[in-house]
Amino acid sequence: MTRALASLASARVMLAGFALLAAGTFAAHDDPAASASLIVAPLCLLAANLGAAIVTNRRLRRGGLGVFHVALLTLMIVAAVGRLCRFEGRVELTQGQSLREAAVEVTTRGPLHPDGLSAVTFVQGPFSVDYAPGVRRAHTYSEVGVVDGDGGLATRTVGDDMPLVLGGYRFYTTHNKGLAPIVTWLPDRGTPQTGSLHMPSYPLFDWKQENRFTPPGGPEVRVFLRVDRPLDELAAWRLDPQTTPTALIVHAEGRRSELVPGGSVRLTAGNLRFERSTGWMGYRIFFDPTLPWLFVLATVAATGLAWHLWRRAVAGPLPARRRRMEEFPA
Amino acid sequence: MRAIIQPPELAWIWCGVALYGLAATFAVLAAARSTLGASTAHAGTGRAVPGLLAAALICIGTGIGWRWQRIGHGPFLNMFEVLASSLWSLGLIYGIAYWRVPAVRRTAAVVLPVLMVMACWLLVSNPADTHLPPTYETPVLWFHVLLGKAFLGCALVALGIAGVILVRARPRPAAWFARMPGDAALDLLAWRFMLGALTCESFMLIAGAVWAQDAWGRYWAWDPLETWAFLTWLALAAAVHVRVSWRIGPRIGALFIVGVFVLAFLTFFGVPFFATAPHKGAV
Repeated sequence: MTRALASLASARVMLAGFALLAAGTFAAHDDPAASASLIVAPLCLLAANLGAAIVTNRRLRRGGLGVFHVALLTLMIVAAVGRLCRFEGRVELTQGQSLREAAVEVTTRGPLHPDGLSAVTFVQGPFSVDYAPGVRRAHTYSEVGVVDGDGGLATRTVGDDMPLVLGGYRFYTTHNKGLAPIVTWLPDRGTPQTGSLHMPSYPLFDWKQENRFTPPGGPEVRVFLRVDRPLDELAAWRLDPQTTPTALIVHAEGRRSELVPGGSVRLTAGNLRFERSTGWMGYRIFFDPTLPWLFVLATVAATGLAWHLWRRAVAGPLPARRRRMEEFPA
Repeated sequence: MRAIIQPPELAWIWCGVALYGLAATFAVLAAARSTLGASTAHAGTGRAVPGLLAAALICIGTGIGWRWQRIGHGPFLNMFEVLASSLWSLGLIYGIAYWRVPAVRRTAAVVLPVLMVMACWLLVSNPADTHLPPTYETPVLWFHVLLGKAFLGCALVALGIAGVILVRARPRPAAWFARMPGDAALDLLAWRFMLGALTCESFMLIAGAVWAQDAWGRYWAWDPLETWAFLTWLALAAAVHVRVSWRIGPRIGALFIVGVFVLAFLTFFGVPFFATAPHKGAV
């Protein structure tokens, strides 16, 4: 047993692990789909090697070196737990709309994810994005309504480096946002339905603000949103969907109609009314309960390394001249 | 004909580059002359090096400060800014090592030509004004950048020492650095700086992860810069372990140091050319 542990703790195994991890990292860089196994397998080998080395080598349990290696091993374990619990996704919310779990597009869900997203909600408020000359995105200010302790809605502003954190889920604004015309379908029979149409990201796709939909019982409708304020690429400006003047161009049943806010068009089986134009914001969602622990462990590990360096290197003697060489054994 | 308007701080930076060139020339001359036994001349040229280096740092620092004041943000974005700030920070770290560690002084003949390569690159890079993305307006960026500079600075000092070990393996250049400590002592000193580099890089990666989490909603995503920074950390950690485990000789150790420095240099200044991810660094 001791012999097997010593073999596992050997420097050769460690170097092999380093080489495999480097190769895996390099390969995963070219093929992200293959990343998990190529990186996780060498990391498991290195964790086993490090654990065995800590058990068999007393030097790795002492002083700064000990702090570094023990914290590094714990970090690897906690990071693995984090991956198992992780959740990543994205969602687009129109102004006035509440977050619903059904609207979230999941990109990563670990097998041990506790599934608390259904209990999380907020209401998207107005947002604005500043642009510097050259259409370079500057600050994003997205107002959201969050239920406070009294059951009311408290307004928070998120954006750039300030995510919204609710129930451990972190919501980040993204470059993906745009304009959303609100339309009402008034059928000849039945109840009116109001909804929003998410146009492609603006101003990234300012040249193709189009979408299509089919109202219940009605014909297929193709819509273009015309922004009646030319994009001045040389000046600083602010994207504020609420105050952006727009007109909705409707193509249906072989006809073209241009609607201003409040205007409507008669179609087979009902009327389509353009209420107003508003905006939608795309959020990235991230959940990893180990995040603070990862930070603490990584900092402790690096501090251990610094402690070791200080004791063994900086506080030790430094060579000055050739004749004093004997003072500095290798 | 359209006039090309150059940023006003360029004169200071070019002046600093010229002084770097002079310092590098004097350092190499001082090393070469020591072979010929021209002790007086050698002393004169050698003594000019720290003064020229200090003057170069003042000029480049003034240029960076002027630009900072003019465009409203630090030198973090395009290759011109990153090269200028690296030239200044690496020169400063090397200058501190030169001042505090006598054994490092003669490595100027190795280190300053390396810095001159960066200075020449700076001369041909585009000094256009840059726009600071909002995700860069965080104090964490400062920790990340400063630790990155400290990492590369420590690796540069180690490179200078490693360069001396490798260069004096040949008979003729051996005389240039004859007055320096023996290979074993230099090897020990170089690896102390490499341990410093490992510590700084570890903290740099942590600060970078904290920044990335709040800026882009993930602390690590294997983007090209993250991948290569991790590979550099891995190479450095592996080199440290190889040295400790197998007690390799100073020359092989020096080769490891050169290899790690080249990897780090490519990560800092090469990866941004092919990175398309948000964390693309200086292009």
